[in-house]
Amino acid sequence: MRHPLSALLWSIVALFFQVFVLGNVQLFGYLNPYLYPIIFILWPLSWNRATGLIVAFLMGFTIDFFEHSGGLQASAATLLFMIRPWIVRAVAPRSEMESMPLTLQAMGQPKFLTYTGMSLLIFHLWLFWWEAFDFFELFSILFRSILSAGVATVLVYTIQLFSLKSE
Amino acid sequence: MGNIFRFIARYHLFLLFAVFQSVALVLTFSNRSYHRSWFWNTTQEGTATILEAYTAAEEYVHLRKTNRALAEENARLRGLVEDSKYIGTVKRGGRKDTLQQYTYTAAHVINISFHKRNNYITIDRGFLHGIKPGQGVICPTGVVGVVNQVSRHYSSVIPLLHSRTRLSGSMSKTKHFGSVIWQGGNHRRAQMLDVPRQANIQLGDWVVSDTRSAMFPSGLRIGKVAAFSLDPESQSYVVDVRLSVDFASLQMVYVIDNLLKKEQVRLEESSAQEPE
Repeated sequence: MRHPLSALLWSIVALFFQVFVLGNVQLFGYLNPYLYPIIFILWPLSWNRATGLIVAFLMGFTIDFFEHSGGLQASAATLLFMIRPWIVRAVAPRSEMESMPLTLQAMGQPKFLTYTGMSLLIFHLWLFWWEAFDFFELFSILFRSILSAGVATVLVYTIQLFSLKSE
Repeated sequence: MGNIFRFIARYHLFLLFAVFQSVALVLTFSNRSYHRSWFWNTTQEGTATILEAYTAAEEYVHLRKTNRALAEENARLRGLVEDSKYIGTVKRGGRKDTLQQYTYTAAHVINISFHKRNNYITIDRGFLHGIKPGQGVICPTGVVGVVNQVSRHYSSVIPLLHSRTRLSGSMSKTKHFGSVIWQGGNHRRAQMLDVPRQANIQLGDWVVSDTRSAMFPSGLRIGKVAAFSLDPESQSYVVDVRLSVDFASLQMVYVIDNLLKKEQVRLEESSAQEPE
């Protein structure tokens, strides 16, 4: 994702993969990991944030249409995109983050995993909370978020490993 | 005026974010009006066409299983026609007065989820085929859900596996009522609440549909009692139900049109409004 065009291409690939593959994977009734936020996780920090926010909204909204979820995905996607700089700042010291690409290669394993894991956990928590919208399901929401975010993080990490090799 | 522009320029990102968040959350909680709009109709047609092609391939793989379920249902229907019933009356020659109450429309499931907290089903019949919101949906093995939105060729169904579904059910043996809800997690397990203490529940009893909601004929299977306990507060039973429908392999459904629904609902509403 060094060029805007390649970012667009990968966004479409991620959308299709989410709707037709992950949307049909059913694991133990608890796991439904969302992988398409990988696009926002890898989105370079130096790019225009307003454009990125619009892309996040549109991607989330497209998935909402396939899942009949109103604006649930759009809400979670824009939230993740908005708070992402703070997560990066918490994980990496200020001086290096300005121009750093947010990849496994550039950040190193511990930082990249913390950044991805935190991003995906917040994303899934927000998503499952608004979906259930019930204080009595708090533990179930927490449990499902941690599981799904964990699986999604492993997937993102694996994808990063492969793209490392190909470069 | 200049201050406003300066404010917008400075906080444009956050304002954009706030607008997106509000739009998204409003849409999430007002599913109904927005689904009915022209926008929803056209996009639903679009996404449904894609999903239909995808499902066609998947369905082919499951043909064997679907056929078997159909055959089983046919067998059961044969048992219901009058010819196969023993008429127990002694008096002969009395005329039997019958009236058609329920009609059924068969539909294919073209999209379904069952692993989320709120699940949906899309079927390939719409208002051109007489489907209307609020109609009940069943399959050969039992009750599926209720029609939610309808476009020209497609409808979306809210199945039992949804946080806002409350089906009225009854115990097939003792006829006591209760509400069947789904609390997430296992797609084969649901709960039946508010069953009175007097109901003599036994493991393995059938929980079946009843006509309180005017959507389903009575006696359609919902599931079997897998466990039950007495709620000390409300003095009513909480029943764990093993659902008879396996949503993971749902392919064909029937949408029920209750021809007498209007009459029942109108009567019930007008008697509720009557001054005391």
